[in-house]
Amino acid sequence: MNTHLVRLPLLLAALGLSAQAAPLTFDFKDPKGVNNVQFSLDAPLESITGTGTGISGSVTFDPAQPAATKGKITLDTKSLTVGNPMMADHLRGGNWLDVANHPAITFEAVSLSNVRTQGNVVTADVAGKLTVKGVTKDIKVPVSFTHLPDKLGARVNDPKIKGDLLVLRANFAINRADFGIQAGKNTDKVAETIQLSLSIAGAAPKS
Amino acid sequence: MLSRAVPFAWTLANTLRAAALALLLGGFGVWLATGAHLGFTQTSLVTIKRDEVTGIDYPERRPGFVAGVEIPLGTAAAAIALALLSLAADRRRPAA
Repeated sequence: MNTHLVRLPLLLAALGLSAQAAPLTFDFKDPKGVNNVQFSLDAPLESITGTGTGISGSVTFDPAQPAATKGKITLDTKSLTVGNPMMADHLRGGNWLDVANHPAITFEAVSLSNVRTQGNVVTADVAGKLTVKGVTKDIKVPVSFTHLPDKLGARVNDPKIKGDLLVLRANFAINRADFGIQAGKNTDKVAETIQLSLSIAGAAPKS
Repeated sequence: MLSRAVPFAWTLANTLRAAALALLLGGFGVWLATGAHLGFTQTSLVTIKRDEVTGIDYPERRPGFVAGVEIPLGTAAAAIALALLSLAADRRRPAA
């Protein structure tokens, strides 16, 4: 009897630990409109810079096992814009991103390598499949994952809502020709390399 | 011997010259007044803000107008065209 009494708290503690270590699924639908991707292409007169904010998707992240992270992030191509309205029309038009026929850009994480953890920040090279304008390529992107436990309430200004946040940041470059975007054309007007900067936060509510 | 000043006549040629000058000054004026931006015209402006909880820097886009170099260049081209037209109008004017 005494043995059982001693074992019970240990069992409960073990269950608690295993529950805490379970992977969390973070939803990247952003009610605050903060999640964004910024892009930049060199051009003779000035760099063409723009933003995209229509981000959704989910990532499963386990702070105890970050190498097992999986997920998929989607960007609504209609949300991509630049400051010049004519350029914005060209960007979304059939010759460039053709957003009418290709409404989403997606990145699906397949595996992580070179994983390093420092405090609540994990950095890793994420290998995955990037799909732009219907063309899928395998790419590797350096990503930082910042796990913010119990910060969901602060983010939505409601302390009654419990949950964690996961912030992903990535800076990388792709070649538009690899995705069939004006491949080999207009290189005198706009560079083939597109610099991308992604900053997004996902939420994992706790019941 | 001083020549008598010819009074300004509101002819087609002078109208075209005045329009050319107004275009030229207007184009450069708008460009200078909106910041003499050396790129293309922008109709929305971005301010970078920081989300306090996540630390994410995010662009906040709002309507705004910044004239690009095509504005003074375009109006200068139009002004030159009007000035040339004014010369043609001068030649077609019957001698007094």
